[in-house]
This record gives sequence, C-alpha cells and structure tokens, in this order.
Amino acid sequence: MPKLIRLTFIKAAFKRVAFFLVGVSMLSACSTTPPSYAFMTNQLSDSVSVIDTATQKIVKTIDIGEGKRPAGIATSQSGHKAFVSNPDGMDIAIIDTDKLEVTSYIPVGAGPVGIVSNKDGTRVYIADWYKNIISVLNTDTSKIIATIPVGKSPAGLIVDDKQHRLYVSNRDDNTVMIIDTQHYGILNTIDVGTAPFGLALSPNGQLLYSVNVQSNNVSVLDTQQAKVVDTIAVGKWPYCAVVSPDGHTLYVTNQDDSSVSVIDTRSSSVTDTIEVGESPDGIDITEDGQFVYVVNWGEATLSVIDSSTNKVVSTIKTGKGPRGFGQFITKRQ
Amino acid sequence: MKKLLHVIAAVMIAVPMLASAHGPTRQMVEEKIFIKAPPDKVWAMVKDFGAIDKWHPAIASTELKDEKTRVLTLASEGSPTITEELESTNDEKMTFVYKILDMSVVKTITFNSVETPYYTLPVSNYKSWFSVKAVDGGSEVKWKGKFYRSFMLNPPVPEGQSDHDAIDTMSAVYTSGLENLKTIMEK
Repeated sequence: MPKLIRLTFIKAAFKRVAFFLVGVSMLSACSTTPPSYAFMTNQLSDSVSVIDTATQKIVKTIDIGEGKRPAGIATSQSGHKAFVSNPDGMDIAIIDTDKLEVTSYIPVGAGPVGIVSNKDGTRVYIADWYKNIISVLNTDTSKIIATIPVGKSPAGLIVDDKQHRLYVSNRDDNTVMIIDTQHYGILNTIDVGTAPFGLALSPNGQLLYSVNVQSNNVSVLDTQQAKVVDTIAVGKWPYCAVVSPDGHTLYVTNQDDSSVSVIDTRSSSVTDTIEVGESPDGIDITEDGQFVYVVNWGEATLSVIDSSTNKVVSTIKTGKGPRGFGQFITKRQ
Repeated sequence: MKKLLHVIAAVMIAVPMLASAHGPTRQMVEEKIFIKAPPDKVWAMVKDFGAIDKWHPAIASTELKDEKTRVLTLASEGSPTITEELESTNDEKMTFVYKILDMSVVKTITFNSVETPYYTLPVSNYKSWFSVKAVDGGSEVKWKGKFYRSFMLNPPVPEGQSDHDAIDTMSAVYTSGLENLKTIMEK
C-alpha cells in the first residue's frame, strides 16, 4: 500500500478507536473522583494526546493547529486548565481539562518553550528561549502582565506558590535563577552544571534539582540558602526530572542512554537505572506516586514505570515527536 | 559525491513535510539497511574508526590523530574536514558511539549583520550511534544521529541551516554510506 494511503487508513482507524474510547469514558463519568490525565505534547504531529492514568490508555487526541509544534505543558493542580507552549505557533494553547478541548490561544512571542502554572491556574509563566525573558500570563484576563529578563536560553520552570517563588534554569548561562513572584524581581542567580534544562522541586520546597544536560549530572540546590549543596552523577545527556510525592525519590531521564536514573534523595545516590524507550525527554509522576510516566521522543511512546518495582509496566504509543516538557499529569490536591 | 547529491535530492522529494521545528529542538535521524553478508564481516569493516573512507563514498581520506580521534576529509570542493571522537565501542553488541568535535568552515556570510559561518555539515552538538545486528540471512546495519541545527540564534534562519537542512543532510550522508557499504559487502 502506498505510504500516504496507509497513513490515512491508520489515521481513520485511530480516530474510530479514539471515538469509541471517549464514549466509554463518558459512560463512567458519574464516578465521584475526577479522572487524572496525562497531557502529551506531540511536537511533530501538532497535537496533544490525552491519557487516562487509571487505564493508561489514550482517550482523546487534541489538535493544536498545523505547524504550531507544541512542546511545553503545564497542568494547573486545582484549576481545570492545561497550558501548552507552541514554539512555532509563538503562542500558548489553553486546554479545558474537563471538556478536553482547546478553548483559546494567546500570542506570547518568539520562542515559548518552558511553561508552568501556579496551583489554581490563574498565573502562567512562560520562558522565551529566544528573547531570554519570562512572560507572566494572567489567565483570567488573558493578558501578559509582566516580562522578566532572565539569563540565556531559559528552559525549565518550577513555581512554588507557598514561597512565592519561581525557579528558572538558564541553559546557555549554566545558572538557575530564583524569582520573586510578587514583585517579579530576581532574588538569586546560582551557578550549576553545564546546560541546565529540566528542574524538579521537593514537595516541601526545600530542595531544587537542576538537570545538567552537558555535564551529565544533577545539581541539588538548597532553596533557602540559595546554593548548590550536592551534585549527583547520572546517565548521558540527562534532560528532565521529577520528585516523588513523599520527596524521597528523584527520577531523571537520560536521553542518550535511553534510561531513567532513580535517586534516593536522602543519600543523594543512584539506587537503580531503568531501561526505557528511545531518547527519553519529559517525565512526570501520578499524584499517588505509583506510576512514573516517561516520554520517549525518539520512538514516540510513553514508558509507564511502577515505582514500587521500578519496572516498565506499559508502553503507550503517542503522536510523533512527543516532548511533555513540564508537569503534564493533572493533580487534584 | 554525485551519488550523495542524488541522494540529497531524493531525500528532499521524499520527506518534504518532515519536521522543521525551531532551534531549541534536538533532532534525530536514523537510517538502516539490510546487507546480505555475515555480521562479523560487516562489523570488522565498519568498526575500524580510521577507515571509513574505505566504504563511504563522500569521504576521500581518514587520518587518525590518536586511537579515538579521526579527521575526515570529504571528497568535495575545498576538501572540507570533520574531526570526530570515538566515545565507546562494544564488540559484543557490535555498536560504537562517536561525536563531532570540530568541522572546517566552508564559507562565511553576513546574515542580519552577523558573521555567520557555514560548516562542513549544518549540525551542532552531533552524536552518533552505529550498529550491526545479525538478522535472517545477513546483517542489519543501523546509523543514527542526534544533533541540533548549526544556527542557534533566533529565526530567521540563513539558507541551508534550518532543522530541515540538518535532517536532510544527515539522512543523505547515512543513506549514501550505507548503500555503498552494502554494494561493497555483497560483492
């Protein structure tokens, strides 16, 4: 069969399956707990795959718009919105996480990649890779209310509502910045390893982890002292990280080893290395801490790891070029 | 070299809708070929880090600086060079990993008032994986690369330095090399 026809056929079949699954999930919509979803940005197919974390199945594929190249993702914990950064669309897509559809696009300029939301989804912070700024979006008015100049090629973002802080990794400056989210001023600039990209924060806000792509390690920062207190060697070309809800375990994707390093945060030592799919990129964990979702951009799949056994328990096919750069699993607390 | 140009042209026709995501995105290209020859024979040919010119048609000569550093001189105008470093070799798995350390500047243009170099290949931060696998009746040879485009500044991107150009060029480099390797090994 010629490639194009085959592709059309597969797409049609896929749509039928997706439609069926949506139907199934609607039947069970009366249950009391709202579903938890993983929102996967498929950069090369301009879409977001929505995975129900209870069934580990794709329930819907949301079209983001041709050529927008969605990369970053931010779910709001108690809000009902998810935010997608589109580097080529130069805008943000806002997804209604109940209806699972795009409700609006907000232009933000040159190269939005890193994105994070505060807990209730009222403020979204967007790192512009090209303009070296963080834009602050008020999602009630859909207006950019501030822009904060930061270091070169800002990438990873983490917000801590309790401490009114935003953390930014500046990839091409080898620094992490601490920003005050009440006055938008830079509180500290801290040297870390080479090419910091993904960031992760301990649940109590005490420790920040910076994944340093080109020095193959993770810098551990004490957020109160604003300094690096430890450095942990991981695999090759590490990208992103996530901390377990109890704060005891850090998971790091190693893109060039196709693995995930499991780190005991109390001893700062690597306790396990889990083989995942080709070129893992983004990573997140379910609210109960049971499953770790690893995005394999090299083969367009997600590896789901059971954190109690450190084994991959399922592999989910996504769209092309999945990134999942950011917090992509919804949490309800 | 003519063949390589043909391959580049063919690739451009075959993959016009391939990704052209902007600068921050790492790219990956993977090409593979089936060769009707024993894997150990194919592996013996390709694992020799200082002898890629024996089978890659675009490479005129290879000079080993030390056991893990080689300088490739291309068989094209101006004899552009690529300096590469062998990161690891695994004889048991028949794989090796290498990266580009340096490339010669082919030309320099002024683009948006900035001096912009063109390197031998339009890539940066390039790393590559090469493997030979035993399959039914022969070998499967796989060549994979991960890289960024060479132009790391804001769009607009100068001609020939986009993500698309980087992907097409590497795909052509791999395909032309693997096809010639197949021809040689199946003789």
